[in-house]
Amino acid sequence: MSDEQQSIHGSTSEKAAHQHTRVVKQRRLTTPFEALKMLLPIAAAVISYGITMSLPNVYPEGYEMSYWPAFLIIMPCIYAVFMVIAWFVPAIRNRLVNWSYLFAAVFFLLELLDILTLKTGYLLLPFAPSPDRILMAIPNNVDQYIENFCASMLLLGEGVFWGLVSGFLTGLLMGWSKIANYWFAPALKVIGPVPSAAWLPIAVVLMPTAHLAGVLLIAVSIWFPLALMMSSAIRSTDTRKIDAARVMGASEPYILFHVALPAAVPNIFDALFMGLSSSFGALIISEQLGVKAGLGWYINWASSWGEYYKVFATVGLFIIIFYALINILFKVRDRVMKWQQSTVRW
Amino acid sequence: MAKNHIIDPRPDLPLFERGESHTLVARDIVQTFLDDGNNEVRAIEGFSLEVSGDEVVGIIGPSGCGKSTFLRLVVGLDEPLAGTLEFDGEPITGPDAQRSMVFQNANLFEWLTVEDNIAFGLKATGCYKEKCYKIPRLIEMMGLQGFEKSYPSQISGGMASRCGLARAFVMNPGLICFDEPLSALDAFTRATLQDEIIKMQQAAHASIILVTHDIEEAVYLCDRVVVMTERPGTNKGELAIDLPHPRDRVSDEFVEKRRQLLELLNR
Repeated sequence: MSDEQQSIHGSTSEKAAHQHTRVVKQRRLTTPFEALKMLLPIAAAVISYGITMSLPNVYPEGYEMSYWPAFLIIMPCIYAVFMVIAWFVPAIRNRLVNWSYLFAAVFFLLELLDILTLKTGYLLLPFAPSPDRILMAIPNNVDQYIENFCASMLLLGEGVFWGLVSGFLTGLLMGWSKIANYWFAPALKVIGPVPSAAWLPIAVVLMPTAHLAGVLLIAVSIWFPLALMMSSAIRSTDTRKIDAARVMGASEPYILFHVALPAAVPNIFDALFMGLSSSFGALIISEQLGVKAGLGWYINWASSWGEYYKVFATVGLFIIIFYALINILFKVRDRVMKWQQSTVRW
Repeated sequence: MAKNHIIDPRPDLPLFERGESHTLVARDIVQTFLDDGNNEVRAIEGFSLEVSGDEVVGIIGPSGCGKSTFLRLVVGLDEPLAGTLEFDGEPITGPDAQRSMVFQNANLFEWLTVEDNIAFGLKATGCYKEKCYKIPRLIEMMGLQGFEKSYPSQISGGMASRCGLARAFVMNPGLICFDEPLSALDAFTRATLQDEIIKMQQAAHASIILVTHDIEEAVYLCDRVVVMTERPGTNKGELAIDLPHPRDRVSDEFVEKRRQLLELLNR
């Protein structure tokens, strides 16, 4: 994640370059060593392809691979496209060069898994499926995955929405009004730190449907950090800023929305990162009970049928979804807080 | 946003509407504050000051003598414990667009661009539509063209101070309080900004109360300098500086006034 932040910083400071100052971009040529390093992942994929095609499939006997060889061709092709882009975009080149060892290692590790499972039977089915099996899970069960993906996203979306609304309102109210703070702060401090798993049975009893119980669990996981950090940030707004606004004739509500709230934005995003991460946990937990669809539920269901390749594929899907959501939040923060990010000075 | 970029949409309207002359009267002001140990500390004890017309009045005195406390009373951020505090014959009960303030280190809103910082007062009081034509003109006057869309973190300290000046003048105030506005700047930038202050003050016909630690700055800018005693602050003396602007910092009269002021301060 730190690399992600680093690169976001880099790109905005370039954007912040002002019309009156010319920032000369450092256009450095790719060194031969970097070019070789960038080719490493492709070499790794080609070697893996050679190994998997030359070794016979022995476990189970007569198994025909369908996706793994294709994966070893398509992924390097995608990588090659990025290499072409990298020729023109130094930022992408630097990232490819930086991560080339890791990409190569991923290909080798997956091929190692292939050898340990399909090629030798060293690891046993159904717990250790081959890469080919894991890859086939989603394409061969597209309907199931789409249905469960949508159910999960709907649950997460509703929960996050209500968490944001309630957290924002409580945070604002507690930050602004001492009376609200008196009544809400103890509740927040008592309820907030309890993990979602502990609430599960109570949520099921409290809410009319299992779906709404899940929504409640996810909403609570967002509500707590957001309300807590927002209220404390608003209450600790720099008094000099408030004085300046008062001198210019701003009313108290105007100061709340145009001074205290924008000043609290960095803390609000910190809270959102915390809240979103714990909401993923709440999502999986709330899908363990009661609901009939959702990726968390699907993991349970597949494992009870012994179809571990589906479990692995679903976990992989979770990784992609959560990574994407956190990154979207990073981009939003970057947008909203461009005033803080710029490093350009005169 | 784009509206702000139209160069002077209302050339027929003046940047500063010249109203009637304003008068501030402060008589026997007493103000206290609570220190860390919750003890009452007298900050100001019987301080008096009268400012009218387009006078520039400096207040100097030792640290902690209540200079800034007094400015807070004048702009209406706090209320005095005792004494008379009137602006144009009305008691001061709270902040008002007629009394503006320039803060230490500019004190801009980091999340707003330069032009939005200047527009803040207009927007907060709901007269933005009517008076937004002033913003491009103030930006030009302050030499901030090209930086309208920059954030405070992207501009220099001197530019931030210029922005703070424009922000104080946009409401067309009759009285502006300066709380050590230039103390954090380098000597060269400070000298340039002192000239800008005079330029703006003469254009706006506003009176200024300038709190400063810099004796040269006081002599350079002020028509009159009031010296305060140590805490609790009260009037120690006063020095009229009747030199024409622009003033020459190395002229004999200037040096003489400086010497007199130092003498008064150290008496």
